[in-house]
Formats: sequence, C-alpha cells, structure tokens
Amino acid sequence: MTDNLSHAPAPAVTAASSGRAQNVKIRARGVNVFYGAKQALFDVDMDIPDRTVTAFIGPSGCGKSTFLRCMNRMNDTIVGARVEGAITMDGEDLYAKGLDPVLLRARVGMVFQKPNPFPKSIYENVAYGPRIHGLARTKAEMDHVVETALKKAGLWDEVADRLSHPGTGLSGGQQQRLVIARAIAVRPEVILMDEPCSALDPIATARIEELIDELRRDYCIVIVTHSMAQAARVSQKTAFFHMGRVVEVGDTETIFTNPRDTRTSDYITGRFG
Amino acid sequence: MILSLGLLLILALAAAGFVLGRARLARVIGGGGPRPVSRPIHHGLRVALWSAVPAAAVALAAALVSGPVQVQAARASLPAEIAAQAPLEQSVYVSDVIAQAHGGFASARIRTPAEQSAMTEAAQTVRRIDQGFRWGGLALALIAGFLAGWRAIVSIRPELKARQHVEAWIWLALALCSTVAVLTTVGIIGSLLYESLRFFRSVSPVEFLTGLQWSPQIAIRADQAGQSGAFGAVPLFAGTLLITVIAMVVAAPIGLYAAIYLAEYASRLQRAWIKPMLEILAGVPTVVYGFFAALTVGPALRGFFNGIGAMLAGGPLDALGQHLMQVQNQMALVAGAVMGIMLIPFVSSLSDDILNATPQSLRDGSLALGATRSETVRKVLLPAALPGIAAALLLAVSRAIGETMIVTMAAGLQANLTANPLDTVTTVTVQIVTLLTGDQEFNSPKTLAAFGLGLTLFAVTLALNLIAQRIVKAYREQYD
Repeated sequence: MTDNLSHAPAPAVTAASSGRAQNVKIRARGVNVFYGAKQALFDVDMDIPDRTVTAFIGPSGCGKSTFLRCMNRMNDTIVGARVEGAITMDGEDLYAKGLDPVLLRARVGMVFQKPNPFPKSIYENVAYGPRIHGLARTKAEMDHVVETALKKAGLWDEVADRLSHPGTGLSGGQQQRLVIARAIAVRPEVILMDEPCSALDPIATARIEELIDELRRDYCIVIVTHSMAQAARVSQKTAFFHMGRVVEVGDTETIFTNPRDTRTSDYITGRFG
Repeated sequence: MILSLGLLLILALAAAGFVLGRARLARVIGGGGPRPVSRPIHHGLRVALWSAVPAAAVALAAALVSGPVQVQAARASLPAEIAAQAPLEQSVYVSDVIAQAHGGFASARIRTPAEQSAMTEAAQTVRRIDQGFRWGGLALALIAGFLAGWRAIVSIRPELKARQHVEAWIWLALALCSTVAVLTTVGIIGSLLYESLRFFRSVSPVEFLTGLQWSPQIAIRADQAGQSGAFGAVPLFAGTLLITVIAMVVAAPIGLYAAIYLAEYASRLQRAWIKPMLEILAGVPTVVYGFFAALTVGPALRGFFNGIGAMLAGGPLDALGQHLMQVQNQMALVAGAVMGIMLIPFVSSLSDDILNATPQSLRDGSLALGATRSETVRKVLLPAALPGIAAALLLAVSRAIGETMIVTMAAGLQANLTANPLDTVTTVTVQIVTLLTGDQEFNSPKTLAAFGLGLTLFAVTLALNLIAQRIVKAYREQYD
C-alpha cells in the first residue's frame, strides 16, 4: 500500500498545498449522530473547502458515511436517526427550523455506492431532477440541460445516439457517470460521493476519478472511499475517521506522508482496518 | 383392531430393521477396514424402509383385493330364483349378504326362509373370506417385510451408498404427493370438458357465446308456459363484467393508496398493526360479506336512491325520478361495492409487497436529488413497480369474476342485459349455483349448462392468472 502511494501522481495535491486561499464551504462543529441509542459520531469538527476534493477515509463502520449523510440531511430519512451540533453551508445553518431538507438536497447532490439509475430512459434519468425543480421550461431547454449534464459527466459521446434507451442497460461505470450527470443536472453546489467506485472495475474507476478531478473546478466534492490509493489520487484534503471520531484532517499530502497520529499512520500503512 | 395391530407390527418391524441395520454396519466394519461411505443412521433408515414399505404394500394390496373377492363369493352363492330376476335385484341381494356379514344396513326386501338360510350361509362364507384376507394379508405382509428387510441387511457393505437409497425413497414419496395434485387438476378439467361437450351437443357454442337471452327453463309438459329455454350467456357475461368493473373501481384505488401508505409513509408501529388487520379482512368468509351486502348495504342504498327519486319525481327530471323510485335491494352496485371492499386487502397486500421489493437505492437516489416523498412514489417507485401492481390487479379481477357468495346474495337472479349499476343483474357464478342446487336431473341441457358456464369461467380466470404470473415473473427478473 505504501508502495502504491509513493507512485501516486496526485496531480491536484500540488495545487491544493500551494497555499491558495480556500473558502470554507461547509463547516461542522460538535456534530454528534445517534441511531436510536447508539452513537455513531462523536464531536466532529471539520471545515470543508469549496472547489476542492475532500476524501473521508477510515475502517468500515467508522462514521464517514454517516457524516457524509449529515451534509444533505439524508439521515432524516432513517427512522431513529438524530443529529446534534451545527453544520453550516456558506454560513447557513443546515439544521435550521426553516430549512426544507428537500430543497437542501437539490443544492447538495449525492452519488451512492451502487449505481442506482431509475428504471427510465437515459434522458429521463437526467431530466428527472430538473423537471421536479422546474429548471427547464421548454423541451429545447430541457434538451440543453440534459446534454450539458451528460457532457460534464463525460458520458455524452457514449450515449448521445441512444438517449431513449433504458439507463439500467448501461455498463456499471456508465451507470455511475449517468448518476453523476443526474446529480449535476439540478445544479448543486456540493456533490457527496459515497464510495462511488467500489462496485466498478479499475478502468471504469479511472474514468470516474478523472471526472472527479474535472468536476473539482465547479463544485465542492466530498468523497468517501475505502481505497487509500484513490484518496491519494483524487483528493486535496483528507479526513481520517476512526470509531466515530475524526482523528486527523489535513492536506492529503501531509496525511499520507507525515501523519501526526499513530492511528492514521497505522491505517495508511495497512496495519489495521 | 387388526388394522392397528398390523400397523403396530409393521412399525415394530421397521424399528427392528433400523436397529439391526446399524448393528450390521458396525459388525461389517468392526475390524477396521474401509470407512463406510454412508453414516450409520442412513443404513438403519434404509433397512427400516425396505422392511416397512413392502409390508405396507402387501397389506394394502390384500385389503384392496378382499372387497371384490367377497362380492364375487356372494354373487356365486345367488339362489336360482334370485339369479333369474333383474340385475338390480341381484345386486341388492349381494349387498344384503355383505351387509349381513359385516353388520351393515340391509335392504327392506322380504326373503323366503330358503333365501334366508342361503343368505346366512353366504354371509358366513364372506366373513371367512374377509378374515382370511385380513390375517393372511397381515402374515404375508410381515413375511414380505421380513424377507425384504433381511435382504437389505445382508447386502450392507461399507461401500454401500445407503444415503442415496434413502433419498430415492423420499424422492418417490414426494413425487407421489405432487402427482396427486396434478392428477386432481387433470381430472377436474377432464370432467368439465366432457360435460361441456355434452351440453354443446344440445346447444350450439355459437348460440351459447353470442345469444342475448338467458332463461334456462325446460318445459316439463308440452303445454307449459315456460318455453323451451334459451341459453344465450351474453347477459351473464355482461353482468359479471359490470360487477367486476364496479368492484375494481372500489378496490383498485383504495387498495393501492393503502399499499402506498403502508410501504412509504407508515411508521413501523403503524405497519405492524395495520397490515395484520388488513389481512384479517381478507380472512372474512365471503358469505359474511354476502349478508352484509344483502341486509345492510342493499337496503341502505335502496333507501338513498328511492329518496332521491321521490324528490325528482314530478319535476323536470320526472323520468329519472320514476326510475330511481323503482330501485330494489338487489342491484349490481351493491354486489360490486361490497366485493370491492372484499378485494381491498388482496390489492393492498400484494402491492405493498411489490413496493417494498423496489430497491432502497431508488428511493435514496430520488430523495438525494431533492424530490419529495410523494414525487419519489409517483415518479420513480410506482413506474418501477407498475408491472407487479398490474399483476396484483389482474389477480383481484380473476377473484372478482369467480366470486359467488356475495353476488348470489346481493346481485339478484334476473339475467338483464344492462350497463346500469342500479339494475339487478346476474353473473355466471350465480347461474351455476342456481342451475345445480336443488333436485336436478343430470342429463338435461339446463344442468349441463352449468358445465358450459364453468368451462368458460375457468378459461377466463386461467388466462388472467397466466398473464398475471408472467408479468410478475418478468418483474422479478428485473430486480434479482
């Protein structure tokens, strides 16, 4: 694993560590999450910069997905889940009483572990979100929205001639890019990715990673991953979670080459987890 | 007595076979040697089966042969004067002999003393034959079981695949059980077809399927008012269709909304209460729905429509008012509505299962795009579950078509060809019931018409079920 890391080119790391001033997009302070009586997250503080890829790493069940789901309030859909503490986006409290989680989710998109296209055509998959939120008034506008989203997701060239085919007929990697296009189509500010490549083969994974690097220019991206190599390749910031706590957050380069905490170095070198 | 004794003895034989089989295996491999390929329990079971099954088969054969042989013996002893009489009298004599032998009910024929003594003698012969078959059969059975078991014990070797033998027996037993069900189905279809063919010999299928008049009376005397009978089943099909449509208009939306509530909105606690209660509704006997329809819903709706009719009568809508005032207790609307309530749990329970089977990832995906729950249900889950829901509705339709009790009690008996839900109509099932209840002769077209109707009904529901099953299967493949 360490071997892998020394080879990882991580083109973005230099940009991120060059000290460019980064706006904080999402700020979390003292976040605790409970599933029923069980506490899944303890006192998480974190600043997530805009137009950057932030990777969450850590062993299974360490709370990284839980924290990810706090940021678009998907935990609200789980019975018995409770979130304490403060999470703000551009200074706006995400858990304020007046905020509708449904509208928040249009601003914070999410991509899941397994590609989950709807059993509809490719076109309808992408048009689903814009249609709900009324982002296109005419057919021509909708066509444009769909085309733009598919182009941004790097899928347009592969599906342009078969937009009416079912989205479920695409390959796994294409499905995952379709789902990313679907998320982009509602013009989010943040894209959350929950192990987006864990169901894909290495070639499809490489395509998604390239895509993530391109999307970084326009969006704040948070990615949960089990692959340390992937975190090193695509992210500029890395947070290491362990047993429901954030052990260490920092520039990806620092975390992987010179971690402060022994637990981080143990995990990165593959000694546990 | 002998039955339980025989059963006990065969079981004892099997138990002994089991023990001896295990013991034999232990002896065979006693001095080391190769490891046996099967476990001791399978060797024991193999011997037990080899002793019990042949024994039981021989005993069963003896019991089956015994009856005919007894009848044969009684028939051989017919006194000359009875042998000269009609075949019916001969059979009465034979059954009297058998009855006397076993202490059953004899006919009320008066016998001469000569006949009496002949009968007593014959009865004694019959009883001897019976006893002979019982004890002889048991003895033979035990011998057969013993011999077969012995052979099984002697053939025990370490390399004997005893488990496969036992499983072959089990396979045989399972295959026999499934054959019973299949044969029954084939028999029912066969008799339905046969009787229908007899019906269609007197009434042409074209008249039956296209005729507009249904009055299946057959005049007993030539000068009777009831004419020769008309067997046009279209009014019955129309009545069935009308009631089915009304039932589905009630059941489909309510059942579907109930399913959506249960699958997507209800908390776990609500679900735990509501689902079993809906399933209790499915367990209410249809006859209960029937008198609910006939005694409560029917009169209530009649009162309602008569009241409206009385208000309208004399006004500009006089004709409509007059019509509404003549509405009776029995109408298609009552039967259809109550049947719809009966079908709600079918629709809701199946649709709920289907909605639950849609992957959680679809829900998450839609919610994560900022869709509301309702948008998720309407635009993602329902379209995804549509084939399954269509199948659920088709199954409900096929139940509605076959439902008998509610329509018998609440729809009426007049075969009106109408689309007015306030008229009395009658259905295929109701007509089958009325054609076959009471004293009937079994060779008039009137009774045979029931088989023609039954065959039509069977064909329609079979087709619906097949379509529904095919849809459900296609749907399953999509998500597995």
